[in-house]
Amino acid sequence: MFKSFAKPQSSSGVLTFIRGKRISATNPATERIVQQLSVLAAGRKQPKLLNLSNEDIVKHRTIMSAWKLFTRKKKRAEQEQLNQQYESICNAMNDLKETSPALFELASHKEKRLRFPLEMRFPTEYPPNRPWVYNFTGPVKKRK
Amino acid sequence: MRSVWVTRASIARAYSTQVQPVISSTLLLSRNPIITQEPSSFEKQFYKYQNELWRRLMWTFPSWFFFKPGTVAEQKYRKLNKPATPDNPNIEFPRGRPELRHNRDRRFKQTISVPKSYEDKKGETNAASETDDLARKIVPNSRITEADLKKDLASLERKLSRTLYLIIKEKGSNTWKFPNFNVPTNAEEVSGLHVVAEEGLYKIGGEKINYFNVSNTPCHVFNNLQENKKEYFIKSHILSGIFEPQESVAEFNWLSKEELKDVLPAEYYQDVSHLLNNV
Amino acid sequence: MLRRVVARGSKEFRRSNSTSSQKVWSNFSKRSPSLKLSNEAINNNLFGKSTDGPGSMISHSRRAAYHSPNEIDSTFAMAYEILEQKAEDLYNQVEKLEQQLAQTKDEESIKQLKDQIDTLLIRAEIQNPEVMYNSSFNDPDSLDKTQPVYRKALEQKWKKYDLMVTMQRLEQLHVIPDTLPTLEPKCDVKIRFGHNSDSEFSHWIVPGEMLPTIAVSQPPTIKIQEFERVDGKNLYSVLLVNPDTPDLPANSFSTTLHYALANVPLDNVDNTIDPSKLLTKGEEYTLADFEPLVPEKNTPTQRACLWVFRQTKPLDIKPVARKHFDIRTFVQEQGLIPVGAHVWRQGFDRSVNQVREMYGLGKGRVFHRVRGIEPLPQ
Repeated sequence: MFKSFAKPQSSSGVLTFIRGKRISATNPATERIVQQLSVLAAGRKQPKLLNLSNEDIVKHRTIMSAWKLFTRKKKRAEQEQLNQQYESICNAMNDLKETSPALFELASHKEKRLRFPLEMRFPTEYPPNRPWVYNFTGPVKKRK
Repeated sequence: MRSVWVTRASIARAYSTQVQPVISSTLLLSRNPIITQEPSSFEKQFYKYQNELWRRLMWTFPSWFFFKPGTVAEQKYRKLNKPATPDNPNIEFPRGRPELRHNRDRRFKQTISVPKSYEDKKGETNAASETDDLARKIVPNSRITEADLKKDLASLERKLSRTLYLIIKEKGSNTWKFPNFNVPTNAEEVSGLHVVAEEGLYKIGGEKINYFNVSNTPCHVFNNLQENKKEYFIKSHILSGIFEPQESVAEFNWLSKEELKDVLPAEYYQDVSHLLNNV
Repeated sequence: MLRRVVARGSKEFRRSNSTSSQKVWSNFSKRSPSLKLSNEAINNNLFGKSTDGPGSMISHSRRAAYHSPNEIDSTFAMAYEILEQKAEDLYNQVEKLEQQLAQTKDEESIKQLKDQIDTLLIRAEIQNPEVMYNSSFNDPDSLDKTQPVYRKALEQKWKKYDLMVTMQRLEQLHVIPDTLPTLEPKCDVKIRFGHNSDSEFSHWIVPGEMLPTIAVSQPPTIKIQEFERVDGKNLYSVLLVNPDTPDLPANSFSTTLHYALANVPLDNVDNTIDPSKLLTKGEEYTLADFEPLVPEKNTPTQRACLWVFRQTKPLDIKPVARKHFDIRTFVQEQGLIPVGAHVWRQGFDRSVNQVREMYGLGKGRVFHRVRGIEPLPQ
């Protein structure tokens, strides 16, 4: 890269200059690396900075505060439901302790090494070709 | 939290009547969403705006790397992406001078069209080639399924973006309810609420259900004063398989939270609504 | 370019001007008109009523060459609706509190209710784009300080910069332990010397600035901006002291009082003590007339410390001794609460003699370094 001059191409000892042909200062391997680096480098690839007008700054701030409000409301509703569910579990277990201590014992028994089954899947943007698997043959083993 | 437990216990005591109530376990069998939730209109618009900002601030696409100069692919690419208007000092640009770098106006986002990898076959549809051809056009499956169009409430393929819950109508009864099973009182060995629920499910829905129970712990108790019954709720999921109604079941449906509101008795729904997923 | 024009034309969002379906933020029957964005061009651009670029840009060519981000207008319209809905809920709460306030007699609970209303009003308006524009881009002096939301915005701005500068200068120049033990800043104190025609000294003084004596030869204009709600008028007093007066007998420095005002009634809007006010009512307010600092030759730089106090009770207007002024005892005896301070510095310069003559202070001393007779220890 730092060779400032390249020797003109010589074939059979006679120098030949071709008008208009660029003489590369580097060998092909270096050129390849330079090209690959140019993909990663910022040079001449960066867009102009966003320089918003006063009105647009206010608009942007408004949008962001509305988004914050929106997400906060959603989170709060979710948390509220979780709290209700937790209380409901406490309530049910207290009740069960009163009515049937034996069932309470079984209900509060924690199964060890309980794992989420592999068949469980995350929601995706679009459904799979077969949205539901119907050909399940039957429980392999009954849980205790 | 301790105080909650104590107060709840005292309330529960006050409920109990003279005759010993029947203990039963209610199954809250849900089918989890298969596709993502439908975003609200504001969410959609916000994401669109953020996407625009993101594209505006993106670096220029290094096309010289992906489409090697002098190849056919590059020719195709150049055909699709016409060069932008270059700056010319002799021309007046009322909406600002273009600032071209690597054939992109730095002031705007860059829109790139990439040559198609498939051939547009109009009219002719070859089923075999369409499924096997690697270069075929990728068309995502529809988010709305056949069951949605037919309004088949008993299908597990309806409303893919929502959590669906199983409700049944027993023979001789006219009300919809979650499947409910009494805990046998005379059995030698006591079986837990979750076991009762699981066995009951196989009894009413056949054995072809892939079933996953979340926890042995009941998540809710409903005091059915009319029948002098205590219904403990067990949460579980159906993962695959099919619910085939047996003799005791007249009808069954898979419904989302909103639909359950219309179908279930109002008081009953009010009591269990917090257990149902909004999504 | 064509696409942009089309997009600008097809803005779905138009804020209705009809009175029937007016939402909170476009209804000025109950709200103050100062919450409106008065500039028509900016307002039109904000609410998508015009297509000729941002009104805040004066130059036509700049305005034409400006490109706002895509999709910002339609997103803003939806965001505006969401925030306006929240503001509407808050205004309903305010209405309930106001009804409650009308029935309350107890003074303590009236104050509490009013504070609650103020916080709700701030929350209802702080995200209003028009208010946001006014408070961030308009001249702070033109804002309506009776509105709690503008006071809040001003306070935030003050805390971000001016307060930090003031506190840094007060502490670095040791004004804080040398005159009063500490300061809990409550209001923004700004001073300027209006008599200066020279543009270098006619602006608002930055705390800690070195000023020539001629530039401070007349009483300053003092602006005391309260951010809390002031019901009726509060009484304020102002003391200007110099803790660097040479005290030869004690081989130390003493504090001198240079200016003292008391019982000045001020509120959120009427917040300046300026020459016009002093000309008409100066007699009632003045404890000690203004006398500029006149540092003598070869004395070290002197600090002019200006303290602003909230009064708990009206003070008696009687003359105070200037020399050996004990500011700490004075403040304690009179029950003054320091709420703000300012400081500038002065040294000996060629204008000192002229100012001395102006005030009839006689000729100043000239200090010399005196060598001791005894030889320095080896």
